[in-house]
This record gives sequence, structure tokens and C-alpha cells, in this order.
Amino acid sequence: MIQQLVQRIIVATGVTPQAAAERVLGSDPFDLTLHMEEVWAAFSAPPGPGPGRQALMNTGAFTALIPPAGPPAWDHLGYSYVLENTRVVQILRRVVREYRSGEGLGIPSVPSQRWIDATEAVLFQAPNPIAPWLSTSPIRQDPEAVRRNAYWRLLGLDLAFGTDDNRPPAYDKATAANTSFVGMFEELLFEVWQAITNVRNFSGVNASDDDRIYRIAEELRFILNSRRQLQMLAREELAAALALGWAELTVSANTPIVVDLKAQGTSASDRLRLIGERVGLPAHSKSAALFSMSSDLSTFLRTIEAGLVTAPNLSWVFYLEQQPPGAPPGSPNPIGVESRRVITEWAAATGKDLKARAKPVETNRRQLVTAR
Amino acid sequence: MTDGEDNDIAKLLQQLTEQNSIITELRQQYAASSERADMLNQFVMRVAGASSVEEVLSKGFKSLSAQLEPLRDLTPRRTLLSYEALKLLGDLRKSLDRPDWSNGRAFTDDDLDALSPDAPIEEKGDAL
Repeated sequence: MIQQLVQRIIVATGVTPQAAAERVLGSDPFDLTLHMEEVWAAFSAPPGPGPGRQALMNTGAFTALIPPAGPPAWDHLGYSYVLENTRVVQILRRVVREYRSGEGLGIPSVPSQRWIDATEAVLFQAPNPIAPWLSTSPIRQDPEAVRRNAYWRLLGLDLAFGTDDNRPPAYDKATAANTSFVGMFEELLFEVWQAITNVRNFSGVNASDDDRIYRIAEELRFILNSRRQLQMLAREELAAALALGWAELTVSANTPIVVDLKAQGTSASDRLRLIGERVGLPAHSKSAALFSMSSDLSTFLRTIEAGLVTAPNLSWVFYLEQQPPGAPPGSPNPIGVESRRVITEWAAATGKDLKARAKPVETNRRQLVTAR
Repeated sequence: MTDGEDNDIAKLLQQLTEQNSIITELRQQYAASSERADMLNQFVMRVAGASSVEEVLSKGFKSLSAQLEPLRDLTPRRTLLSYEALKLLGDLRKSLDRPDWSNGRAFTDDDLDALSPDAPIEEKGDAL
């Protein structure tokens, strides 16, 4: 959601990505909350917001940038899951705590102080006139536990680590969870890779199987949408996309807080690693792969859920990089590029060689990596 | 022998010698011609041989192609997305559009000053 907001600012005003990012990172957290309400209202089913909430929304700083009705204008929960596995939220929690409790990290610049204000409200539930997304309450106080619950229900996955102080995580583990997701998902990645390698194969043995791709994608769509009936988990997904989008944007470039932390780097994973070293909490060793696939995984999973592949002869949507001959000019590209990135980085993050698998992957492994 | 007879013999010898040299020259020309004829013969044979291989290969491929014709049904059949599906794919991509951060330069004062942190964003172009 945050990255999409930055993109809408770039398109609307013509500024550089850095300027748009600085505009968002320096925002009043109340404006961010109001914009989230607008994004939610553009997607959610009636009834929409009440008159009071609507009146407040109209006063926000980003009211001109409301996305059109249609697919949710925020990243899929899979995006939040892989990013949270880098441990970025827990590392930023320590950064905020250090800055709030002393001067061990130095004196933050004015832009960094605005970032700390907003981070404390957006990520860690500091009081804000409207609670972000009603995703936490006295009943479920810890936003990380809420996200863990959502990851478990939709993806059948838990994070690869415990709490900030290495205690086992405590959250409500629902019984209705998609525990078969990972097995089917990796099976689909393997089949899509076979198809990618055979796109230009017109003479040799062709191991691609459009029918199997279609069937696995359809089954994945069934199990994912079974957890999303009547927009279940949508609000939690948006809250997660807000939190992890904020964290990702923070380390996407050498932002003021990154500079203040003396963690300038050439990639998001490098910056996070350096920040983690400063606050004594190491980032996940596979952070580079996790950052690299996050947005593409979002597109991949949204495509599955959208039900675009309704027959075997449409399986090419997953593995072609351009529309087949005969498509109307200007048609959007299929997701072959994104699929390739997800396959490569998922294999790197999990240590499974999805490209050379000789037999179906085991389906009883639930975690992305072993929890410590 | 008389002087006249000696002269006749000398002439005959000279004629014989000239004929010998002509015969030798003709033999050399014949040998050269034979050599060229052999080369041409070999060349013609090579060309004829190549044509045969080509013909055999051509016939072989045609035969193979005919045998594999039924397998054409097993190649992926790709149909185009409907208008509604194309629109959905386009909307989906647009809803997830994001900036490119491959240029990881540091923020400058110009970036910080480009947009006032408290002012509402005014839409100037086709934002959505």
C-alpha cells in the first residue's frame, strides 16, 4: 500500500521516487491512516464508511490519490510474510526504542524524527486519532501476533523466528488454515519453470504441462479464496501491507533515517543488515532473496486469486512474458517475468532446487525456513 | 653415296626429329587433358553424390514429419484472454504498480523540499 502510494504521488506530481518517498516517510501518521481508510473504502463492499469517517477522510493529505475501485490497491499477504521474515519490523522496533530511550544511536535529524513519530504510530500502535484499520484492539493487542495469525490462516506458514527476545511466539493459531499451501505452491512453481524453459522448444521433448499448471492454480485459488470469503482477512492483509510497506520503503533507498543510522547500502537487504548490526538484532541471512521476490510474489498470488487462468489453454499467463500473437495492441503483459523471479528467489530462500526437482516436493513441510 | 643422297637423308632425319617433337608435345597435351578430364569427372561425381544425400535427407525429413504429424495436437494450445480478463489483468497490474528503487541514491535537499510535508498532494496529471 505504501509503495503504491509513492507511485501514485510520482505519477500525479512528476517528482522523483526519492522526493515522493520522503513525502510519505515525513507524513503525519494521521494522514496515512486516513488514506488507508480511503484505500479500504475504494475496495470494500457496501456499506462504506459512515458520514463522520467520510468527512475526516476528505481532510487527508492524500485525498487526491484515492485508487479506483477494483482489485485491492495493496500488496498480497504473501508480500508481507516474506518481508516480515527478514525481521525488519523487529529491527525497526529496536531502532525506535533506542531513539526514544536515549542517544545511543546519535541525535536523529528532523526528517528522521518525523519518521520515528510515524513509525511508532503506524507499526507499533502509538495513539492516533483513528486506530489503523481496526486490526488491533484490547482483544488482540499485538499487531505482530495478528499478522502471524493471518499468515497461518491464509498461507499455513509461521515466521522463521520467535519474538524480539527469542521467546516462542504467542498468537491465536486458527484450526482452519491452508496447511497444504506450500506444497501446492512449490508444485506450481516447478511446473511453471518447466513451461518457461520450454517456451521456445518446438522440436525436443517438451516437459511443460499446461493442464497441470491450470489444475494446481485452480486448487490454490480454491484454498486461498476459502479463507477470504466475504472479505475475511482483507483488513488484516491491508494492515500488514501498511506495516511491511512502511518498513520496506524505509530501507528501499538511503532515506534520512538510514543515513542517520549510518547504514547506507546498495540494496534494501544491505541496509537492513547494517541497521540490524547497529541495534544488535541480525537480519535473516536470506534477506536479499526475500526482499527481491516480495513484490513479484504479490503479483503472482493476486493473479492466482483473480482466477485469470480458467482453462489449460490460458496457463501461459503464468509463464509468457508477452501476450501471444493476435492479442490487442497495448494489452498488459502476462506475469512470466514475475514468475521467474519468484521461482529463483523462493528456491534461494528455502534452499529447495525447484528447477531440477525430479519428484514432487514433500507437502508436509510448512515453514519457509526452520524456526529457531 | 653421292652428295644428293646425303642431303636427302639429312632432310629425312630433320623431318623425323620434328615429327618426334610434335608427337612428344601432343603426348604432353593429351596427359594434361586427361588429368583435367579426371578432375572434372571427380567433381561431377561429387556433385552427384551430394544431391543424393540431400535427396535422402529431404525424403527422410518428410517421412519423419508425416509420422510426427499426430503429435501436433499435443503442443500447447494458447488461446487469447477475453476482454474482461485482459481488463482484470491490467487493473491488477496497475493496482500494484510501484516505483523502481534500483537507483539507490541518497536523498538530497531537493528531494526533501520537493513536496511540502503538510500540504495536500494536488493531482496534476493522470494519476490513476
